[in-house]
Amino acid sequence: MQNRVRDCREQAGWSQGELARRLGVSRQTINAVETDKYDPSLPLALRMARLFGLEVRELFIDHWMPEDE
Amino acid sequence: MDKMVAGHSAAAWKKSGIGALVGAIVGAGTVAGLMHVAGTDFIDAMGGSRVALAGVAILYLLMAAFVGFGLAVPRTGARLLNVADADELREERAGMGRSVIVMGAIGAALLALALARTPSFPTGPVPAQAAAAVLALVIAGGVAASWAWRWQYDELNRQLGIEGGYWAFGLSWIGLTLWGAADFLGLGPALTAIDVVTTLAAMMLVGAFVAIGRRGLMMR
Repeated sequence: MQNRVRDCREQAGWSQGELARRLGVSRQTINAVETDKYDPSLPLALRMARLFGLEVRELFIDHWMPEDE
Repeated sequence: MDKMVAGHSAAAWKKSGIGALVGAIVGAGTVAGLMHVAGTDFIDAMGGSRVALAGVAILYLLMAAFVGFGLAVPRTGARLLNVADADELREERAGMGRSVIVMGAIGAALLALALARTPSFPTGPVPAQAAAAVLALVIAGGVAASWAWRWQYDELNRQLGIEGGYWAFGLSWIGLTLWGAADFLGLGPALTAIDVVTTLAAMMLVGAFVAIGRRGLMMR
C-alpha cells in the first residue's frame, strides 16, 4: 500500500531510527513500510498517523472503491 | 525520480550480489576445508545423511558468524549483510545479537548430532549422550528464550516469523510426505530419522528466505 511515511518523517526532520524509537518498532520495520514492502498493523498505522497529526487515510493511500450496487 | 529508483535498485542488486558471492566463497571454502581436515575415510564413514545434517549445521554456524562479524565490525558488515547501513547494525545490535545466539546454538546442536557416536558411526567424535544433552539444552534454552524475548520482537519480525513458519511447514510437509511415501512404496531412498531432522532444519532456513524474499526484503 502506498504511503507518505517517508515524506512526513523527513518533514519532521527525523531519521528512520528516530521514528522507530518513537513508535517502539525496529528501524527495519520503518524502512519496510516506507519502501512499501510491509503494510503495518492497524495499531501501528494509527500511532503513525497520530504522531504526524494526520488521519490514517491521509498517510496510507488505498485506491479501492466499493462497487456500485 | 526514475533514475534515482533505478540507481537505488542497481546498488541494491550489487550489494546483494557481493553479499551472496562472499557468502558462497566463505561457505564453499569452509566446507572444503572441513572435508579436507576430516579426511575422505571419515566422510565416507559418516554417510550421506550425516553429511547433509553437518552441511545444514555449518550453514547455521556460518550465518551466525556472518551476522556476528557484522555486529563486531558494522562498517564492513553493512556491505555484506542485508541492512540499510552501519547504523542499522548498531541500532539493532540487541535483536541481531539474539539471532546470532539462536542460529549458533542450533548449528552447534545439529553438528553435535551429525558427529554423534552411534552403532552405525562408531568413530563419531561426540558421545551420543553428549549430543543428546546439547540438543536438549538448546531446545530447552530456545523455549525459555522465546518466552523471555517474546516482547523484544516487533510486528515485522513476528509477521516474518509466521510467514517463514508457514513456508517451512508447507515445504517440509511436501518433501517429507513424498520422500516417506517413496520409501514406504519401495520407490525411493530410505527416509531415516536423521533425514527428518535435517529436512526440518533446512526448511526452516528456506522458509525464512522465502518469506523475506517474497516481501522484497532480500535487497535493501
